[in-house]
Amino acid sequence: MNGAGPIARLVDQFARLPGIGPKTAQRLAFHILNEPPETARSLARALVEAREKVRRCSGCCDLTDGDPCAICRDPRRNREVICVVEQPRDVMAVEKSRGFRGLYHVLHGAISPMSGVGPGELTIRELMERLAKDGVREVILATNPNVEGDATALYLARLIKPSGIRVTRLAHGLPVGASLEYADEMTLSKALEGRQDLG
Amino acid sequence: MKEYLVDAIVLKSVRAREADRVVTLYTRQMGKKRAVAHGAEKPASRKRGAVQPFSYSRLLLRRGRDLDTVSQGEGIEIFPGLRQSLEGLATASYLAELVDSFTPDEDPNQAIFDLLLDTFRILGDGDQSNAAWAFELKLVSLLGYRPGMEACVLCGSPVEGDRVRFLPEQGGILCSGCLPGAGRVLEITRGTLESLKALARWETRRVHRIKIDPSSGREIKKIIRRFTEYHLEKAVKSGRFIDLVNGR
Repeated sequence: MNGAGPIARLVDQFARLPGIGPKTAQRLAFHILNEPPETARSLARALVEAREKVRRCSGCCDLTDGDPCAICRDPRRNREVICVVEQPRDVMAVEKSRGFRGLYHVLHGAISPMSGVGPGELTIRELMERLAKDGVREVILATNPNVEGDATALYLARLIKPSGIRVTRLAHGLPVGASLEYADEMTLSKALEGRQDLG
Repeated sequence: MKEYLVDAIVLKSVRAREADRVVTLYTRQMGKKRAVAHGAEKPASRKRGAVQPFSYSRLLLRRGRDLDTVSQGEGIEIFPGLRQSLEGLATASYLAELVDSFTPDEDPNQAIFDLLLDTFRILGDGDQSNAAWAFELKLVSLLGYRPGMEACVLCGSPVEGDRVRFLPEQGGILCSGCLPGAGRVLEITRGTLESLKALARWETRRVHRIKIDPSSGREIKKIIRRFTEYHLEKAVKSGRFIDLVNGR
């Protein structure tokens, strides 16, 4: 095979994607070449279109093709509650639960002191600007329940509390359908801490 | 033997592939050690709790070709005080990064393990500076870089006066005779020097009782940070966050 030809270039491009090694890249490239030309054209179009049209929403910083994004534009959403998440895919996860009707704010990461990711690298300034003008009554901190997510949540809580806005954190505890026997100690102690009255 | 048990404090955990984590451990038995925890990101993972950063766990490791893997784990202590406060998390990150940067792989040091464990136990709400400073001074001492604070580090003569000159590059204080041409010295008060000595000497669970006024605190922070970074030959990344949290 010609090392610099179009096939090699295609294989190289696929191999740059996460989770794709040289063998998989080859398989994908030859798959595309075996398909009718229209498959390649529509894939190329979809790639370019997504990359060019998708940007950050000026309100919630989620990725969107229209500004403001569909959620920020929706008049039925409750504008007094903002759910703060780490990544755009977390918005999808919370949306799938259908339990939340407020707005979102995407931080695009979490504070990680050891990796040198500080508050300045996240969209915290944008969040504070929104809180200052939008009449928000509650901020739900839905960062991941790990060290980075906890540090981010504690930092945000300290920043937001003085403005009098209610700050809440997602509950930690047992997943639905789990059994106590297999729960780890940390989760179980969090679940005990956050127990609720019944009946 | 393919499998072996270690008592480990988790210093760091980095996501790898879809659901795995590469953890950096400081173990009682074999010093610093990296291992892969397969599937630790999955909700049903049984070892997930035991490989969270800053937890003290008993882990069953299995020898691998490259990195060993964590096959089972059980949390021993999770240090709730440290986890529920911003200062606690920031300080723990800083201390864990120091241990990770200063220690070589698989070089057991029981004293460093105990120092880290004792310090994690006292981290919690409020100002954690004393605990962090004492930890840093004790850590560098255990590694063989103990700063000379009793007499001039160059000629051994006693150092007098209210102001004392400390030179991180020479590893301690200098007398006025050795001062010319010595380099960029940090000037501190005698009180600061005494506080430094106390921080290095007192038991970890009592260091919060050492009273240090804000101006001494600033001098101590500067000296320890420069001393540490001189020996590490790089900046400590978590330092920036800890300064932000402490408002310094």
